[in-house]
Amino acid sequence: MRQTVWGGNNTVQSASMPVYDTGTIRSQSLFEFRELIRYRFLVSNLVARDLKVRYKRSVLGFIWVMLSPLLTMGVLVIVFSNFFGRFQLAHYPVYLLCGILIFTLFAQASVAAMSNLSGNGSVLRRMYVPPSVFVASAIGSALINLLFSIVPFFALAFINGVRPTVMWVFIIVPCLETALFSFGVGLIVAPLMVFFNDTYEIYTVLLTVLNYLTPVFYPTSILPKWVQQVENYNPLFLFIQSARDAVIYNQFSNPGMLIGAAGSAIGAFIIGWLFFAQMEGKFAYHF
Amino acid sequence: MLTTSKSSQTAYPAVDTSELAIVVSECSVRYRLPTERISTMKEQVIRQITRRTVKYNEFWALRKVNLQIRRGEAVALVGRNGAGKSTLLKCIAKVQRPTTGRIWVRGSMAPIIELGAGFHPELTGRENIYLNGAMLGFSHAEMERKVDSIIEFSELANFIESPLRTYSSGMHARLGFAVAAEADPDVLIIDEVLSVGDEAFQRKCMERMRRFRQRGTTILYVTHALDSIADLCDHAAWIDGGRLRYYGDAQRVVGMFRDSMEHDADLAETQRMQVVRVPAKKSR
Repeated sequence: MRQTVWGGNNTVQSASMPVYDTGTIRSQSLFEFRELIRYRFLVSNLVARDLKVRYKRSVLGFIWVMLSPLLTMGVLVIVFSNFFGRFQLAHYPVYLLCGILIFTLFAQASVAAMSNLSGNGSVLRRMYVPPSVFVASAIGSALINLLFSIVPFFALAFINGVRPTVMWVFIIVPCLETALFSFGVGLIVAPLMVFFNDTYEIYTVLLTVLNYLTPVFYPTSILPKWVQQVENYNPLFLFIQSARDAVIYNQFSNPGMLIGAAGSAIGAFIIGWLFFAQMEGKFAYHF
Repeated sequence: MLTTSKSSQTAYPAVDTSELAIVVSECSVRYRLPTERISTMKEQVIRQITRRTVKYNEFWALRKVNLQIRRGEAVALVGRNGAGKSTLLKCIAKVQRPTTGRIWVRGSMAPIIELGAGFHPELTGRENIYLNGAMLGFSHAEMERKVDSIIEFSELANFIESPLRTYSSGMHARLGFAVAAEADPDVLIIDEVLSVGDEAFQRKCMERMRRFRQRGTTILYVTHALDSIADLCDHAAWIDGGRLRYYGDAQRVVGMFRDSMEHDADLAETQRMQVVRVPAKKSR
């Protein structure tokens, strides 16, 4: 009966107006999700802002995005080529760069999610925007950065003697999976950063550990058998492996891996989203 | 810290909403101020292990406030510093959720709680207009239609392509007000921001607010400049200690608020004099 009183009686003019009613918000997660969709233009605007601000006043500009992973790769190739050459790893530079690109996407996106959300506290305190836009825009910026560095990646693969095939297109899938996974992780670490200052330090240490635990620059075969088994549960390894399989070995990874990769990305996103929706009500009191 | 009441399904007073823009019913906001602030995860973990709990001082910024504002009305919120005006405004503007109670707002909102929140110093004025517009929920295409009139209103046409860090604070404020003003919202929420800018611009803002009124925009206005209220608002709400003390005709409520402040000032004056007198006695 209350429903008819609150919902009814609308004149034609007012019926089209949006209504904000805290009494009808049953699920914060759904509310936040709808709001994020509604504010998608803000997300693209923030991504554009990020890129403009970062590259406006630097000499190398966008070229730097392409150069930086190549330089890292160059150093690692010089250092490790002979060392890992013994393991008959074909196209080691391509193998390496593939791992670096995917891992950098994850690290960059999740760290940016943290600093973006707490850095925009002054906005969230003063006006309403769904807070998840700041996490989403961090992921967007990292994806654009990846896009820039994927061009030199393909060039390097070609120069290194990998035959270009249609399978190269499939690299989009692990990249998007990594982005979704980073979104989920970002949705967890970003609110923690709001409450605890040292989240950043702790998280970057964990990232370094994860970097060494994931076969980014070494072949999987150097690991003990049981660790290789464990790697199958490391989402980042799954993303990197399916990208390498597609580009270097011209094949799909085994179905178990592909399902595991997609599942962990979606799972991380759902868990992250629920956590974020749970925490966001407290933001206004903490900034 | 904020726990949204799950009992929000319980009965609310039935309201005929057809003429209303804002309904605040039984709205309370509780702040819990920890007696010691834990800002690192390390501390938190140690506390969990040693089972030392943090004590909180509770503070109710708003207590069961009820307010109904009709469409097209201009309402001023008055009250002393810390009375809860800004908290109420933030609840209505979606920035905060009330601890208990319900907020209902119909129509698009443009909050001017602080001008130029979300501006970026490295971007040009024009880029900031788009960014700020997006924060108000507008698409790129919608902003494209508005951008010229925003620039015109802000009187910043000559500087619009320079980065915002080169702007003065007055220019900042002008741009911020221009974006919010051209957003053409159904509900405009203004928190003590028009004191910036020179007199000419202030007059222009007031002029624009009057135009808003004619167009039927609902305005919620917080200010300490009590003289500007009678000019703009028909109703006023006096918030005192988190409670709604009076609501009604703007002139009358402002008058009562003024009287109470003078009374308090007298009281404070006598108290201050008494305090001064005590050491004087001792020295004798």
